Amino acid sequence: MDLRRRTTRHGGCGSHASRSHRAQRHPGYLLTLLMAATAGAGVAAAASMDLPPLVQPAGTEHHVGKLVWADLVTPDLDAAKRFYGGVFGWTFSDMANAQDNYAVAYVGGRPVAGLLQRATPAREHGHPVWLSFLAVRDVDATSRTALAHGARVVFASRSYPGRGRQAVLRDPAGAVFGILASSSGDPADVLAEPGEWIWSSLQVHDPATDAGFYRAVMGYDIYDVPSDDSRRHSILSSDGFARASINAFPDDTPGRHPHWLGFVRVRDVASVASRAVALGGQVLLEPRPDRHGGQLAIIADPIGAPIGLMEWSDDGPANDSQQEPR
Amino acid sequence: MNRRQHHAKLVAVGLLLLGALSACVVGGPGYSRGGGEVYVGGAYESPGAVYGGWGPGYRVGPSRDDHARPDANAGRRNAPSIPNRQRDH
Repeated sequence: MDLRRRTTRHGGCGSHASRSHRAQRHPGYLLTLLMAATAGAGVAAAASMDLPPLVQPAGTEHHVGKLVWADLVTPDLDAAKRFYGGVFGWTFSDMANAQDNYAVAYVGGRPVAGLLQRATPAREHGHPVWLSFLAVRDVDATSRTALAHGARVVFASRSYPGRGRQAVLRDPAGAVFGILASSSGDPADVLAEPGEWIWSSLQVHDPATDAGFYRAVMGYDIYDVPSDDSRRHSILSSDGFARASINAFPDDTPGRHPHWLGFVRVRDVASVASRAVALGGQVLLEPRPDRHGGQLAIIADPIGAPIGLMEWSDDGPANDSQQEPR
Repeated sequence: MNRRQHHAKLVAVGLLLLGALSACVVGGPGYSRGGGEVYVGGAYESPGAVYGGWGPGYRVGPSRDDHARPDANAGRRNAPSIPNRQRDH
C-alpha cells in the first residue's frame, strides 16, 4: 500500500494537491519541497510501525468521541515504564520493529497507551504531554470537517497496519488532540477498569466557542453543567454517554495553553498520588472531590507530563440500562 | 534571470518552506516521530506555556446521577454519565 501517497493528501500545513500541481509545472519546486520535507521530518520512512489492534478479537462497536488511546513521548522509556507500571499497574510490551523504542502499555491484556522514547529536541523547551486520541469513524472526513471549522492539521492522516488510521489536529483554540479510526473497532462502552482511561477534559479560555467546534467535528451533544465559579463548563456526550468535559480557565492568566488532559481510573486517588511521588512524580492538583463524589487529582510523571487520576466506585446508579453498546 | 539568481531563489524558497514546515510540525505543541513509519508518539507543551489552570472551581467529571434526577437542574438538560456497565469477563 502506498502509504505516503495516501497520507499526504491532507498533508500538514498546506494543500498537497496544489503543491503537486506546482511541482509538475516547476521541477525546481519539487527540489525545494523535498529539501524542506526531509529536513522537517528528520526521519526516513522504513518498515511500518506494527501497533496492536485496539480491540482483540476485532469488534464492530464504534463510539465516536470516546477517548480510546493516548501516547506519550519520553526521553527515558525504562524510567517511564517504572513510573507508570508502579502507579497504575500497567504492563508493557516493547515493539520489536521500531527504530525508536516504543512500548505499549496494557491493562488486563488490553492496550491502553503507548510510550515512545525520544530525546526532547533542542528547540522544544516545553515538557512532554500526553496526546489523547478520540475515536472517529473516518479520519479523513473528520479532518476535513475540522479544517472547515478552523482547526489545523498538525500531523496528516496516516494508516497503521492493525491499528487503523489516525491524524493529529489542533483545534481553533490551540488544543491538540488525535483522532483514530480503529480498524478493530472501539473498546466497549463499559466502566473502565482501574488503570484504564475513564475521562478526558479540555481546558480552554472560551468553552462556548470550543464546544461548538467539537459539536460540529465530533458530533457531540453539549450539556452545560453547574459550576462553583461563574464560568461555563460543559459535558460532551455521544451515544448517550458522557465522554469529556470542556472547562474554562479560572482566569485569563497569560501563558495558559488550552489542552486536553486524560484521566485514569484509580481505586484510591490519595494513595496513587502518594505512590506517584514515591516514584519520582509530583502532585500538581491535590486530591479533591469532584462532581461525581469521588476524588480527583492531577499528577505529573518524573519528566513533568501531567495525567489525571479519578476515582469511580463500582456501586453507582445504574445507567447500565440507558443504552446498550452498539 | 540568470542561473545564479535562479539558484538563489530556489534556496530562498526552500528555506522559507523549511521554516513553514517546521512551524507546522513542531511549533507550539510538538510531535515526536518514531518507528520506521513516521509515528506521532506524543506531544510537547509550548515553550513557556503554563500548564494547569486548575482553580478552586475545577470540576471536570460528570455527575453520577444527573439523569437519575431529572429535576436536579431546573431548566437544564441533564447530562448523561459515563458507561457504568461492568465488563463481561
